[in-house]
This record gives sequence, C-alpha cells and structure tokens, in this order.
Amino acid sequence: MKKQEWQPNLSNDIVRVIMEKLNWKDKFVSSLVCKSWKQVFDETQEQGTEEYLPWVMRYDLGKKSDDGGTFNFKLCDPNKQTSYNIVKECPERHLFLDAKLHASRCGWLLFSKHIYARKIIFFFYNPFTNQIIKFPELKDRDRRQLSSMACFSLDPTSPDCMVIALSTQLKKLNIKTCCVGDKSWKIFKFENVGHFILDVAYGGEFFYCLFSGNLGTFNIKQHEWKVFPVRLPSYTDYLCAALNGDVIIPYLLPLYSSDNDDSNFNSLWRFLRFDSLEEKFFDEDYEMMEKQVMFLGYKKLLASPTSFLVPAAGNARESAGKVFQSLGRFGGITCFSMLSAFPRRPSKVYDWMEDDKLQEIWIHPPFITTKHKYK
Amino acid sequence: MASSSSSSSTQVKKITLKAADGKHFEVEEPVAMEMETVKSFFVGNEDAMKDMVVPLLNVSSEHMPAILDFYRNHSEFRKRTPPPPAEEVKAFNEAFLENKSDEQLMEMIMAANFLNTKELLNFLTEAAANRIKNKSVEYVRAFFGIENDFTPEEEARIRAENEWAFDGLDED
Repeated sequence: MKKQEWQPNLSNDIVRVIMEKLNWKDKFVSSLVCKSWKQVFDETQEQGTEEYLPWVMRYDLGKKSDDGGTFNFKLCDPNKQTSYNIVKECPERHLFLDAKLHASRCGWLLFSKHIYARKIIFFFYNPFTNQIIKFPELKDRDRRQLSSMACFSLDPTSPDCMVIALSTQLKKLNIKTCCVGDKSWKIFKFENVGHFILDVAYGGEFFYCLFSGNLGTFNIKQHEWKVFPVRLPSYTDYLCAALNGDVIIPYLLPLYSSDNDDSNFNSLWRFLRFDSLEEKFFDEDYEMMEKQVMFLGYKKLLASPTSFLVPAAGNARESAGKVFQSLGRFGGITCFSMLSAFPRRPSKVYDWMEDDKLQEIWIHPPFITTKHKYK
Repeated sequence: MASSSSSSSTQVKKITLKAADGKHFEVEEPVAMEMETVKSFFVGNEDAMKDMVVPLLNVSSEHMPAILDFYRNHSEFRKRTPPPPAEEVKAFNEAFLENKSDEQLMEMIMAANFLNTKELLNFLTEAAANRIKNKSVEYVRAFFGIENDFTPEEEARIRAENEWAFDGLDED
C-alpha cells in the first residue's frame, strides 16, 4: 500500500490509548501533532493522570561546560521512572556557575550568586520552560553573617510572588524582600532571634523560619515578625510545606527500650503543625499524616533543603504514610514509614535513578501543580 | 469455504468471519470469542452461530492471519500451567512485530480497536508508542500521516510551555 493512499482515521480513543503508553516528554511532544491530539492530551491531564509525586532535578552548578554556553541537568519523573537529560542553550549560563540553589516551588528554582564588588543577585529559573527572571542587585556588605537563607511564596509568573532573604548576625535578623517587578528590595531588621537559620518555608500569609529552639513567622502583608519557642526532644532542621498551605515540622522522638541493648535504640517520627491563627503548635495526628507523603530534601549548608508534603492520592497513593529523604549526591533517596521506628532503609522506589553523584532537589513540575494549586 | 466441519460433534465449532474485502476466514469458536465485537454479535442469539457469517467491516484480510495467530497464541499462553516463561512470550511478540511496517501497524491498531480486544490493542499501541519514542513532532505527524492544523503562533506558544521536552530528541 502506498503511503499517499493510506488515510488513517485514528479515533480519539485510540490516540488516548497510545498517549497512555508514552512518558511525559513524548506525550507532550505528541500533543503538538494536531488540534485533536492536543484535545486528548488536555483531557488526560485533567482527568486520568493524577500526579502528585514531585520530580527530582539533578544538577551540578560547579561544572563549566566545554563551550560555556549550556547548563546541564536532569529531570527525573517518578511516574514513568524516566530521567531526562537536559542540555539547554542558555544565554546566561554564567549565572549558574557557582550559584547557590535556595529553594524549589511550583516548578521554579530560586538561585543567588555573588557577582562583583560584594553584590549578590537573586534569580529564578524554570527548567521546564527555560525562563529566567532576575531581581535587582543587592548589596552584600556583610560577609560575616552567620547564616542566610532564601525562599519564595508563589509561582513567579504571579505579580504577588515575593522572595525573602534572611540572614542573622549576633542574634540580629535581616530580612530582605522583593516582589517580581520591584525596582528595589525592602529591608527589615529585627532583634533577638536564634543564631542559625535551619530552614525556611512559605505557607498561607507567612514565611516561616526555623531556628534551633524557636520558629519565626514573617507576615508578608503586615511585615510583622514574631518568634515562638519550639521545645522538641530532638534536633530537627526541616520545615515541610504542604500543598494546602500548612507548614509541618517533622522531628524524631527517641525511644529507649528497657533492656539496655544498643541495637534496640529507636526513634519515632512526630509532626508538629503551627497554627498561624491561634499561634500555637499542635501535634499532628498520625491519621492525618498517613494520608500524605513527605519528601525531605537534602540538607545543604545555608540553603533550604526544600521539603514537600503531598496528599497520598493519584500516583502518590501507594506511598501513603511514607517519608522519602534525599541524602545528597552520595546517598541517594531513602524511604521509611511515618509509623515505623528507625532505622531507615534505602528506597527501592527510586532505584531507577542513575547513581551519577549529582546534587538533587525535589521539584513540582508546573504542569502538575496547576491542577492542585499551592495556597 | 465451507470446509469439512461436518463429521462429528467432538470437533471444535467454527465461526466464519468475513473481512472488509469479502474474504472468508474459518475460526475456532474460542478464538473468535476473544474478539468482543464477534462475541457481542452472538449475545442472546446463540442459535445464530451455526451458519452466520460475521462481517468485519474494518479489518482487511491482509491482517487477519496475523491477528488470529496472536489470539491463538496468547490464549494458549494464558491457559498454560505453569505460565510460559517471559522470554517465550517476548519472543512471540517480537516475531509478530518484525517486518510490520508503520502503516501495517496502524491498520492493525484500528482493526484491534474495531474488534474490541484490549490485549491486542494494548500490545499494538505499546509497539506504536515505542516507535515514536523520543521523536520530533514532525516525525510523529509523518508516522501517523496526520496534518498539522496549528498556526505557527499556536504551536510556538504550546512549545514554550515545556521547552525542555523538545531538547535532545532523535534526529531523523
């Protein structure tokens, strides 16, 4: 049969069955075939594929590429267990070299980079769309500051998206904020805070800042800073942002068994939720937590590990009540149940990812988060 | 046609299927019943089985032998205890797809869809998906023989939503 004579008439049902077999990248490419394929694609995005699992971005920011004009990274999709190698022609490649990756939200990444003459520049990068959004340069006179972290609120394409940079020095806190499109940064100073910032996160109307021993909240509208003591039986350095706007502090409760045997030393996960209306901490019920999946990022020096809490629905259903924790470039991803005691064991779930010694960060692809928006 | 299905009742009942181009195929009943479309033809009308010729308007006779072969083998795989080794099934499937052109694959997909058999449709669409893996939009359009009805502006706008997806595609 000659090709010209062949008149295919693939019904939308058949197109749908074919698309189900494709990984995300190929599926998206196929949505461009024609309008009716695009329609099928949009339908599958709306109904069938309930994707809640965050992807993993793997990267190396210290590496100069041979021609200096590209930025290499990998996007790893847990839904089809596929890693995509991305080599992007990026006009501002120099920005990424030795930059610091602060946070990931809504598919966007927040970076900072020291440029010249003690200046620092913050910028957003979206690895899915290859867009860069830059903020005004910021003076960074004080290199003696003990710790600094940064985070952002909404999708950077929203005009209300705010970036916050926090730094402490001798128990004094500097907060710098800037919204997308602002010409300059706003600067706030507060006294009497902790020394070390352990993590920052955004939820509802607040940026949360965890110190050892207390939690600070910064109201993005009133620019008000408050500090609440957190008494925990063990050390924690995670703030975990849920899709519904809650911020959860996971920590381990040590358990000592009676028979003095070291091998019986265990600990249990506990979850503290801060209620911003009542300004109180609550122990979150296991029942609530078991309906969710927690993704803890890798704890880097002076950057948020970026942790997510997602509902155990759709493709995350099988992982209900589990915690996945990134152990960084040499550790891989471990998994443990919120209910079972330590010790942790390696996660078979992420075995498909190459052991390539890259840094990694959880990232929610924008085409997934548009469905269940961050609050 | 009317082959020697006469002699004894112990013989497997046969059903006659008529392909789009009029050619007849005699098929053992269990194999014919793998096709939901054929099965539904007889529902509530079991007597009809005897002499009825089932017309299959969307299936060309070119593909009938291969399709029937698929049903025969896969229903045998399902029945066998212990189940056949994965390599045996894989070997059969690979041999089945060998030498099948893209057009032939597409026609068989449409046939499987018409015959309403999930197993065959899943198998063939998986094969089609494998053939367009990591290919450009242009390749996929040519593969399915579909014309682009987007304006360049529309296409550019959709591409920008996920620019990364067009990175590192196979050259063809």
